[in-house]
Amino acid sequence: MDALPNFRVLNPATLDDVITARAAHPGSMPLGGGTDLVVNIRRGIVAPPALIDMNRVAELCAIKVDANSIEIGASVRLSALAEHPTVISRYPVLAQAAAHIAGPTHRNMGTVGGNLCLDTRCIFYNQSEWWRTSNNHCLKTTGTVCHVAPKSRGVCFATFSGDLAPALLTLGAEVDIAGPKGKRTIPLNNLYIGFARQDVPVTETQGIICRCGQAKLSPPCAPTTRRDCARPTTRSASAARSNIRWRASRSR
Amino acid sequence: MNRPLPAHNIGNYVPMIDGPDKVSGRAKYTADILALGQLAGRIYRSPYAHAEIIEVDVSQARELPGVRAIVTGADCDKTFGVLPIARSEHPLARDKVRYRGEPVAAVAADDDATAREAIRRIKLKVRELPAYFTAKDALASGALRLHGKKPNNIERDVLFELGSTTDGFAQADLLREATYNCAEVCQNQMEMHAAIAEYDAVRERITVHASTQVPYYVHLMLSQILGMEMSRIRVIKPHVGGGFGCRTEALNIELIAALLARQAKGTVRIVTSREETFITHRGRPETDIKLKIGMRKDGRITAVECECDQRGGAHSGYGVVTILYAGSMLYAIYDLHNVKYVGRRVLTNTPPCGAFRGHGTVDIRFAFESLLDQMASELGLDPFAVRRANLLSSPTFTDNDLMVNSYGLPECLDWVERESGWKQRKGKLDKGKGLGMACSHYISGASKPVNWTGEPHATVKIKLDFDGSIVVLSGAADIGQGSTTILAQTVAEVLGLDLSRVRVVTGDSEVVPKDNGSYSSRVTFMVGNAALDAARNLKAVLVNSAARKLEARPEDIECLGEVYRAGAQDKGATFDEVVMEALKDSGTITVSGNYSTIPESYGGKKYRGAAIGGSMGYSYSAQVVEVTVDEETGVVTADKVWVAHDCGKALNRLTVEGQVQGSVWMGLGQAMSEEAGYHDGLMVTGNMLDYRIPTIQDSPPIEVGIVESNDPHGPFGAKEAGEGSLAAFLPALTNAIADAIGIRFDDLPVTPDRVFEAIEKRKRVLEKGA
Amino acid sequence: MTRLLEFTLNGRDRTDAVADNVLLLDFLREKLGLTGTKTGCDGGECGACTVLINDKPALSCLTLAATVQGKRVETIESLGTDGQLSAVQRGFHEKLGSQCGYCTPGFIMASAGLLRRNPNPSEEEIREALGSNICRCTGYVKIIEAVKYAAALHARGVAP
Repeated sequence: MDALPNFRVLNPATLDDVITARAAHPGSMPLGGGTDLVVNIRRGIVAPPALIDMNRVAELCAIKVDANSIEIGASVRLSALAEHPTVISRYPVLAQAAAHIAGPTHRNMGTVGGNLCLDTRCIFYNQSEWWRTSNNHCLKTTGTVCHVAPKSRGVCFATFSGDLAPALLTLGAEVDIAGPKGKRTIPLNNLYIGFARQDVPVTETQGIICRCGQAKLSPPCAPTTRRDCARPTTRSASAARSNIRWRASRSR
Repeated sequence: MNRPLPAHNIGNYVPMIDGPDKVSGRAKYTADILALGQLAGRIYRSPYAHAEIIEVDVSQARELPGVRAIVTGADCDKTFGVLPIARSEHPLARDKVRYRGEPVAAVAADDDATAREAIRRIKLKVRELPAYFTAKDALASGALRLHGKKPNNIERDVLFELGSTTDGFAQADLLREATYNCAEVCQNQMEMHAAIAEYDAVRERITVHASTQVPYYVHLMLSQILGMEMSRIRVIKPHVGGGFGCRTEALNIELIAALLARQAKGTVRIVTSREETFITHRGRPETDIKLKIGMRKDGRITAVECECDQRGGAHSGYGVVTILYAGSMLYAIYDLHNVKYVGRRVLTNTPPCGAFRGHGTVDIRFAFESLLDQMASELGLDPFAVRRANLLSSPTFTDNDLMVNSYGLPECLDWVERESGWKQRKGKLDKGKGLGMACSHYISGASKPVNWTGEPHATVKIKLDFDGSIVVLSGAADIGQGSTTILAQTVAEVLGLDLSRVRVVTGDSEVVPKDNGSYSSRVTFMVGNAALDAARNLKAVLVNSAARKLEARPEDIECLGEVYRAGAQDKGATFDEVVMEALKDSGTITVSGNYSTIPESYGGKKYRGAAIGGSMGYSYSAQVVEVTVDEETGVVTADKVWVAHDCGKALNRLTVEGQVQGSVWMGLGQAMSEEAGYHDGLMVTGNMLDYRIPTIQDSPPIEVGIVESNDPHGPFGAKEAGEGSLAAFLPALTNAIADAIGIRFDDLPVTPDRVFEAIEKRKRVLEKGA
Repeated sequence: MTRLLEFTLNGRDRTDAVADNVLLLDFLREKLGLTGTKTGCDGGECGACTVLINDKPALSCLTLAATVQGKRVETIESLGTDGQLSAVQRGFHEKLGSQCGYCTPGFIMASAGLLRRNPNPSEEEIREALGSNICRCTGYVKIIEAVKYAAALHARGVAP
């Protein structure tokens, strides 16, 4: 057995419970499918004192459809999204993107919110504790150098690799964000911050503190996806909304 | 019951006899052996690539409550290694560290969390030295020696010239030379390395469970490292989840677990992470090859000159043998004369390489079959015609004295040519599609064993008692290739019995005869022959007893498996009755069977190390690969593979097919996506995401044709089936790509980015020219 | 932080004291002695740890035991009835979908999950369903044959 660091798992039942839990446990992180977060905990990359299990919050688990739009909860499984008949018929680019993420078992676990808020990845970051220590860590964690481009000062080149975001962006998706001060809706585009790593944490006006890490968008995964992706129809391009109830916070 | 007597199984599709255990989850691998009181063992690994150790400070770790033992290089001044002439490795680094990840210290604690914390508290003080991550840098003048006795960091250099390449090249109509680079690759067997060492302080004995292919070598090295008599050591090999050569030598983990257990006077369990398994390595070295071939217009090869550098990593391991195989196995597949080989095995500050399926032959074969294809194309010859112009005529001895008694390569060529529709389809496929072919071969065990003790190469014992079940006792290590099943089949066949009468016990040094281990594809041939011998001896005992019981002469007794009778009219006696009769002589019946290779098969003496390559028989493989290349993205898809493998005789068609498919697919991984990558000597690809093993979505249908050349020495005519087909895939793929898009790739793996770049480069060149 | 976990394991309800920071894989193997489910990588890379949770394949090495509250978990040890191998088990055995056997429990559970939701999968669907599982021995060829054979057995009434 590989001992994990100590943490507790919180089990909120409603969105309000989530917000309360988050406020009560600074440094806590949301847990979706765990296909990225648990890996990083196992590798000692992050060690949050508490995980907020997002999977039992009923309002986050639903896909709601009306004539012009679709509302997808943050805890919806990627496989459920990929197999949903309306998604397949009306938003095929989204179904295809979801269906290409990782492998089928990963998709049974991974969530929409988790994929949209995926931590950035890098060959120098996604390694074991021993490895990163041997390499003197890096800019994204406790080190001072970005090993991808050592001469660039203060710029982290870890890349965002989430496959849903590009598809949702082509559909003009918006996200709902909830915090202690209420809810607001922003274009999905504004969830992603840009290239450079900023040292100063950005304070959410609604009271959500989040670390501004680097989030550079890259094109969808395998080259074959490009060939397979359908172009969004005018009908589906109109008003797709993705309901993200959480915004990822960085660990530092 | 109207089953035909005697029962036969050889040549059938026979599921593995331990299959039910694997599919039910009952099969126990080392990490599954859990017991209260096992201490958790962890290893502290060097972050430095090359450094002199000043101090390993474990004082703070020792203070941690729950820590039961700590060992460092100071606790063991012995070295280990699989070759008696090349034991350069300490289980824990002593004086020097030579690669990032090398074990420096180890801890045993009450639980894993404590072990981890103890590891964190260990402080290593060093004086860093220049480190060399490429063969070129390690060979450069002025480079420091990794090992004192190896100047220029050459673990071994090999040079031979048999015949005259000068004359040979002069006879050629076409001379071509090319360079090739094959990236370093890792076995990545599914089971991570694990060992459990149990030290009995009262009786001063140690038992080690190890996930190994070579319990005997582990036993030898435990004795060496612990300074303990071998009689006090017991090695148990549970189910093993693959090996492919990375467990063909005692691993530092096994020795470290033992050292910890002795100090703790208890049981220590070490289950390594996947990353640690990668770093323990013993994979295929990065190889640079320069190859020159002379060929006549009719395709006949007149001379070969080959230079080969292997980046071997920080310790010797199998290195000497790997660089020798690369040269000697140029032979025994085609009728070659006038061959010159220069090989260098280089020590570098990277994890040590070892014997990986196809040991030493794979990268060379890639180069050879690629250059043959290129030259065939230039001469306007069909690649099959070139192979056919150079076939051996069996039986024969090659110029380097390799003994060939069965040679199914012609039939292999015919089969793949026919099944793939080569003649009808080559050159007529859609744009971006291509067909390529290649051949390869491999030994059926090395005729001269690694440890020359004068004993037979293999010994098998059989026990038969009142219960009528035949128990075959063998040290042969089943690692998933089905060796246990083959032994059962062999014995059952000789005795004419159904497999259900036979049990096989392996993997416990306290119980079974020693076996050299599962490597170089020796088990079916050597242990199979020993099992054959044992079974025949048992049959003789039973025939004699039947003769006594039936009051006939032994030569009149007919053995029909479950019935022994004296003549067709005789009612006879049942197997159980004959057994009861036989027990009267000796009580429990135990017989022995042996096998030894013959001196003619030892390989040559024409150059130093010429025995490496000597074998009792060689398997042969021919393959055709069909590819589609997407010129927009560089993605290469292997659509289908046809492979014909001459295994002499397929004792079990099911496992032969499975092994051939598995080895071809492993070649696919090496050719298309696998590569061990380093950043300043730190292995970057130490996980199964970055080290790209093909998934089921990446893997083509593989059709297998079994060719049976009936080797005169193999058991029932059998030769090996597990390694010979790996190498041919690599050049068959790149030859197919060349056919598809007219670009030849000399560097592996052929990843989409490299293909894309090559296509773009060609576009630019064409545009410039236009 | 320890909790009382109530869930159904291999068809039987149970209650266990479980720490929050324990992986389901480790809980199954080391606390309950169900060592059929394997650990093959450092997290999510290989599928050897695959179990069924509410009939769907899941990676137990990335699942916290605490999160299976109220769910149905099935491991390799649950397959087969009346002492006989299940359809998928028979497929992997009789068609040599299993060589070293280490990836086998994970593949079998993923395949069983497939047949439960799609009793007659095409080869394409089999490949898709097993994309999270890595095998190093077979080259997957006989794994596909094993699942096809299992589907045929299942059609004749053998449980997957």
